Amino acid sequence: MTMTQRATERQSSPTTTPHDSASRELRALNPQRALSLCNNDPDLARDLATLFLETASDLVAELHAATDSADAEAIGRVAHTLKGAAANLGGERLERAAKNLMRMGRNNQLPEAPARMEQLDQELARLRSALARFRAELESRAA
Amino acid sequence: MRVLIADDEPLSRMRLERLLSGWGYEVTTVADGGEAWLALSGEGAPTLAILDWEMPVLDGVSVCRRVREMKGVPYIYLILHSSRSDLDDLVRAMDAGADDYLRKPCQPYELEVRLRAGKRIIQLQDELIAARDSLREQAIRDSLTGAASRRAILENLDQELARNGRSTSGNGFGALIVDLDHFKRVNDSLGHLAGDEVLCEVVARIGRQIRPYDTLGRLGGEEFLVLLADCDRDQMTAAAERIRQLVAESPFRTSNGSLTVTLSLGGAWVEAGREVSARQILNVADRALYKAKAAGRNRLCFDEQWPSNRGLLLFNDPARVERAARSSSASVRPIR
Repeated sequence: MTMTQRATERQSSPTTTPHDSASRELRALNPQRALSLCNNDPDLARDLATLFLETASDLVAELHAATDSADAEAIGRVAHTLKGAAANLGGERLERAAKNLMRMGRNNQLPEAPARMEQLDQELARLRSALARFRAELESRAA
Repeated sequence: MRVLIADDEPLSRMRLERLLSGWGYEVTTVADGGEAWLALSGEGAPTLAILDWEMPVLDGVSVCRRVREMKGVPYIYLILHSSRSDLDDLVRAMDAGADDYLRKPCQPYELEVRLRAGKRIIQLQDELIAARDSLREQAIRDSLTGAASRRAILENLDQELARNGRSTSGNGFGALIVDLDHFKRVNDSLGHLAGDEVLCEVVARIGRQIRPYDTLGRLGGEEFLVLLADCDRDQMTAAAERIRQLVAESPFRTSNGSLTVTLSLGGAWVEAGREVSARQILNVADRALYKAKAAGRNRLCFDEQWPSNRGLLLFNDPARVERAARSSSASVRPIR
């Protein structure tokens, strides 16, 4: 991990730098990027958000189970999938958190995993609420 | 154009599928490398594929490698899609047979132009295949009459003779050289277009008389060759007589008037199990044809006398014709 990455993560950690939840949500999701990844098709963006909200919980539950049972292979595999899902929506912070966990799994650095998992949980919660708002906004624009 | 998308992550699949459908591609999606390989190696496979690198069962790079090992199938344009950003990874993917490499998550405008590049390659290939097929068709079919071309019928003759030579229980093999009588007069009196119509009608009439496993080819001009597979001497005589009658019995209608057409036929027959060259059998049939012409045309003749191989001339070799004529083996002539 590079020094910059370490610094970014420390800064973004909720214990070190307090931020109000709205601005965190804003950073959890880049709506413009999400739309541009969908070729500015709001229907597709909305469907992707829905699919993410429906499937992410299962992935995270799998990740928890893998972390609890110290299954490095499963951590690497499931974190990779979650990373890909987040990337398709421009959820860059969750993407990064999942990538960290994925590397940990693949390099078999399990002692750090629970802490990273906690971080990932927080990013997921932020992305979920940002996505819910994003989706509502797309729907109201469509209506 | 049909495109395969292989990705184990559902959001990627949904996003790519919807983008590509919106651009008019016909999309198939699969969720692992094993399914991707099945789709690409099966009948009517898509000709363009976007493959995720990390997938269950088989990864994208292995799918690329397998696809490139397939021989004799249309080219499939392969795009590897991965979040890996190292140059080494790109080189590995291209080495395995990928045509292009796309970073995940790809931007739609980039994806669109990369796909267009792939589409150009595949369309170029489709045009080449169509041109090849059309040339192949031209090579095996006489463009005027639709009968087998000279080249195709002579190839067929070699095969039939080889089969008959190997056969121990067959009925034998017959070849008929068929020549229209006084065809020049048709062209001179009714014109070349009417002459062409007559040739087509002759082919149609003979075609109705022969069995599905017999073949009819145009040797050139007004001369045709009929190959009668697995047939004994009597069957051959009967077939030749039916052909003669069917042409002679009713007048040919052309756009420039109708007329009666007759044929002369020269036949040669070989028993099963006897090895005979194409050159030999054509020489025998051709000699028979000249007998039929000399005897007054509109008839069938056979030549029962098989020349020895030594006395035969090389097919279509004027130099040897010349030499043979000088060396006085007078009975042999080349076949046109």
